[in-house]
Amino acid sequence: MTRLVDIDVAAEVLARAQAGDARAQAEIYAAVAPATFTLIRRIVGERALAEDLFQEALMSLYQGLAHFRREAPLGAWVRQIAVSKCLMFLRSPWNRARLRLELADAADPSSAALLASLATPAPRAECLDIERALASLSPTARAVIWLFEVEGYSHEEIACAFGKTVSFSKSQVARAHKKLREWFEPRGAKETCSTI
Amino acid sequence: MARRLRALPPETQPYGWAEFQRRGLERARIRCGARRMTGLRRAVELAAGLVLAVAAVALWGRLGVPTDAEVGGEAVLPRVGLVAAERPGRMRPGSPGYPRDPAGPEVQVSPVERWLASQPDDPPLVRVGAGAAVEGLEDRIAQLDDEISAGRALRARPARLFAIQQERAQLVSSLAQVRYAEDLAAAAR
Repeated sequence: MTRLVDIDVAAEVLARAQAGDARAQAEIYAAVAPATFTLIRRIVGERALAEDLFQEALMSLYQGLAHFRREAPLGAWVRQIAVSKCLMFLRSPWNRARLRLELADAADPSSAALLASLATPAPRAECLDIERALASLSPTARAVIWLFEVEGYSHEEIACAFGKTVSFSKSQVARAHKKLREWFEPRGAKETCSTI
Repeated sequence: MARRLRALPPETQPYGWAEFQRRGLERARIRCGARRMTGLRRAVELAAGLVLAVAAVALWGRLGVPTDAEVGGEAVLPRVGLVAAERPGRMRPGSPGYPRDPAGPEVQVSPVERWLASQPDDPPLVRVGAGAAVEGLEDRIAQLDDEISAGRALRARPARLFAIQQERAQLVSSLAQVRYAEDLAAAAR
């Protein structure tokens, strides 16, 4: 999987896009959209929500494109925007209230169907398992573990993004690792998935 | 664990460039409409607030006006309205701490300005109309003082400086008249 931070566009394409060339802007969209959506989708979980934040993130990208000075790859800047949108959403009171309601339903056996619905259909069973494992994490833990393990954020960068301490980042990563290991270690009678 | 997470297949973009543009325009339209409604709602709220404030002031004025019998038949200025407000200490033209022009010659403080500086500080309760007039005049005088200082520093045309000084003198005179009227009204209460 190509990380967003590794994606860049040619200087000429960027210049044309900054000048307002729609075709160049479409090229940029094609270059960054899949990785951006992947990042957002992995952090927030729900697809519909990820689409919403994806739209917001790329709209912010195009609104600020004229000021982009190419001091880093374009993908790094897009990643910053996308992560910021995700974290703002996770911190919003509305989202916290919504999550409280969902957690209240977590004990319900039918919530397994909810977890399954959060996963994108994957060709391999293992991928589906990883998806479900990620979905079982709290939104904060999911965001932290993804940023740390996949996007390569350091603990300091994660702490800065969340407005917390480095200890927060380390403890979130440790807890997420523990929970994910519980999904993948061999289990006896415990089912890893339920029929839908 | 990191290897497993990185091995997840990437997501495909949810929609193409054309759809992205369409959704962007739709959001912009919704935001524009919402902003207009918010602005309209704020304007209505502000207007309603102003109407209520004027009604309250009028009612308070009616309740506060003493009858002719109470004051022996003499006309008394009605209380326009009292507003409890914090009035931070304001520097008055002519007062010892008032900024003077460092670049120019020492300007003689006029008798009017000396009288203004001798007035007591504004009480916490001030009349709305007169208070606003006094503040406005003091602000304008301070602004002209800044212009005079800047004009002297930049060696502006003497005619221009003279015109500003004339305007300042007129405003100081107006301020003195308003303060004198306030003093008379306060004495009559």
